[in-house]
Amino acid sequence: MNNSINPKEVVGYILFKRVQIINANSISSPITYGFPAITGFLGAFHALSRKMSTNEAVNPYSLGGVLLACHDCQPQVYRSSKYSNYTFNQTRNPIKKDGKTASIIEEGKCHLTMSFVVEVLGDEAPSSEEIEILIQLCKHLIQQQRIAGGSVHGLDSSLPVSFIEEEEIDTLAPLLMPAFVLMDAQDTFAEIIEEQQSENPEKTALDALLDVCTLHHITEPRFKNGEPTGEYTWTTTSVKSGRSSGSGWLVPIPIGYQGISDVFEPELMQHARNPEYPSQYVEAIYSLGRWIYPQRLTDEFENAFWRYSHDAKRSLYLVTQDNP
Amino acid sequence: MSNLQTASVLAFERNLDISDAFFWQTSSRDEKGNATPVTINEKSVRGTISNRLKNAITNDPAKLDAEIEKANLQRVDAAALNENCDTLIAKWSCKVLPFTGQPNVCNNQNYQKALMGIVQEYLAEYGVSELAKRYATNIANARWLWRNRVGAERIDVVVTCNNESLEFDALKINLKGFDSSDNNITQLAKLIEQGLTGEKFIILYVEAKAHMGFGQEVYPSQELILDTGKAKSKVLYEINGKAGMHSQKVSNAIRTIDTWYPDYQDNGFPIAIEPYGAVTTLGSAFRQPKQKMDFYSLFDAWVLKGEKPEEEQQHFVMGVLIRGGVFGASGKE
Repeated sequence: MNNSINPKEVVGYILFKRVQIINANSISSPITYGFPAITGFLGAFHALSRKMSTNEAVNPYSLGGVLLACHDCQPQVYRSSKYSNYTFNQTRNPIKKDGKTASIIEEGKCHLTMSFVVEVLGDEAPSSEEIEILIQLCKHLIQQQRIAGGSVHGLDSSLPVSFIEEEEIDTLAPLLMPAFVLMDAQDTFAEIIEEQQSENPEKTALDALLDVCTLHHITEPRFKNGEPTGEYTWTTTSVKSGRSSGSGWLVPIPIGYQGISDVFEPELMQHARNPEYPSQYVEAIYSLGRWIYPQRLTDEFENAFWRYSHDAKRSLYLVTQDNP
Repeated sequence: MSNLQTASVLAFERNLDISDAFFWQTSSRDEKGNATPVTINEKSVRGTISNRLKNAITNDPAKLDAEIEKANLQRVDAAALNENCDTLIAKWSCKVLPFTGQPNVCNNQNYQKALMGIVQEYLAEYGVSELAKRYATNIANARWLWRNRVGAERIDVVVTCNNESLEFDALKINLKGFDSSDNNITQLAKLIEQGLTGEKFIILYVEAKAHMGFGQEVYPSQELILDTGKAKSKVLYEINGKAGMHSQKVSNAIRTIDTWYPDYQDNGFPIAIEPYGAVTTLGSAFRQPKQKMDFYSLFDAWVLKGEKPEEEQQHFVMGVLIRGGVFGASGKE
């Protein structure tokens, strides 16, 4: 799919191990929160790749898809009791010019420890000197980089950045442990939608998405010798339960944007961030993702990389795990 | 130059990227120097009624007694050293990123060119040594410990960068001026300068050991919670069970270098680099737009009209850019 844009092949992988990110944005879209959006990570590595391309020694190479593995995520939230909702902790901003308190701009933040595996694209495998330069450069650049709005404040002390040969990708699993890898779960989503619609044809995909986060408490009267005893059995179910073990923890995620207007020529849209490029109004699109233990991924490591994909005909700007 | 307009989208990333500070504790009697995290504990206390009461109540002894008898129950978070620990250890790191004047986002290319022009001119004329020296002083004097600095008997600050360490006796370093000729401060300033000019990648690991006394209370950051309910009136910041101080609070102390605001002669203390010279604890802004000494007045005159401010105000403007922020013209005001 990306072949027309990027004719280069995957020639290896760079592993960024245990990257500590503080104060990352954890509101990923209008209806999902708790973890940054995938685009927040892809954007960071795209920026890193562009900075890399200014270095002559490694400029035949660029970075492609990114595998996301999360070791630890601490949303900065509070709830006053076990039964109340969580709220995001806020920051107080400097006072305004008249000495009055500035209004609070609500945001949600989290601290993360993540490992990233990033595809290296090129025409042929890099030489050992080039690998050395790549590693040093990446180690340096990632620390100067914002990721998902947060700052990088450290890497693994023993193996911060390393290069993995293309054919050695199967050796990744132990290096990523313990962590959970974010995978696309669109097939499971389709199944859930189908199940829901077979029960009630009026249900939409959004109902199915919401149902993934819902717990249903169901009561059933108990019977003794065919007579109701007046006691009830409570069972709690969710659409997640009963799916085959190892399918991972399902979560709603935003996977990109759908254009909702025409594409405007450069300079036409007022106050656009980058007036030199065409712009378009978009809305977030949702799907299901699932967190999987790396061990269970050995057969599909190649499929665990998130990449940009663009469908101009349907104005879709997506992140997918489809193989190019 | 005349029809140049401020970009509607204009933002700078911070160039001193500071982490949260984590609190540990140890005992000066422990030779091995074992450190354990400072934790946050919840306290439930019965308070006294001590707020200002209405005259109708204070003038009537019976009413006053009735008021005073009410239980003023409070639940708050508190952090203190253990009874066998007398030393607070606070650790954080500071990345110094290259400062070139390149905005993070800017949607007006002509404006960006003019802006980068003035920054390059400033860098060529003065460099960043003045700013670096001031930042270094604020790291060394442990201003960033805020209230924890006040009660401490002795504070040792150690800054480690590339396996080299610099030590400071924090309480000996002046909080009100930046004219210290301490060798270590000069060296630390040199490191910050190298980072800001992009000569090297600099990450400083800062650690302070403050002798507070056995079992003394310490002061982590307080969380700003909008919907507290009635459960707790004060929530302190913790990260994985460790007490901590928000990065914003640490960096506000580090950039408390502005001695160039109009009232400095009278006040005699530096304030944090802020576009309006805002000091939250005093509830006032020391750089009022009326005096044309606030960031936007100085900056706009400099970029749009080429009116170069005095040297000291140039330092201030660059300080704001290093602090980072969103400076675009919304067109609303």
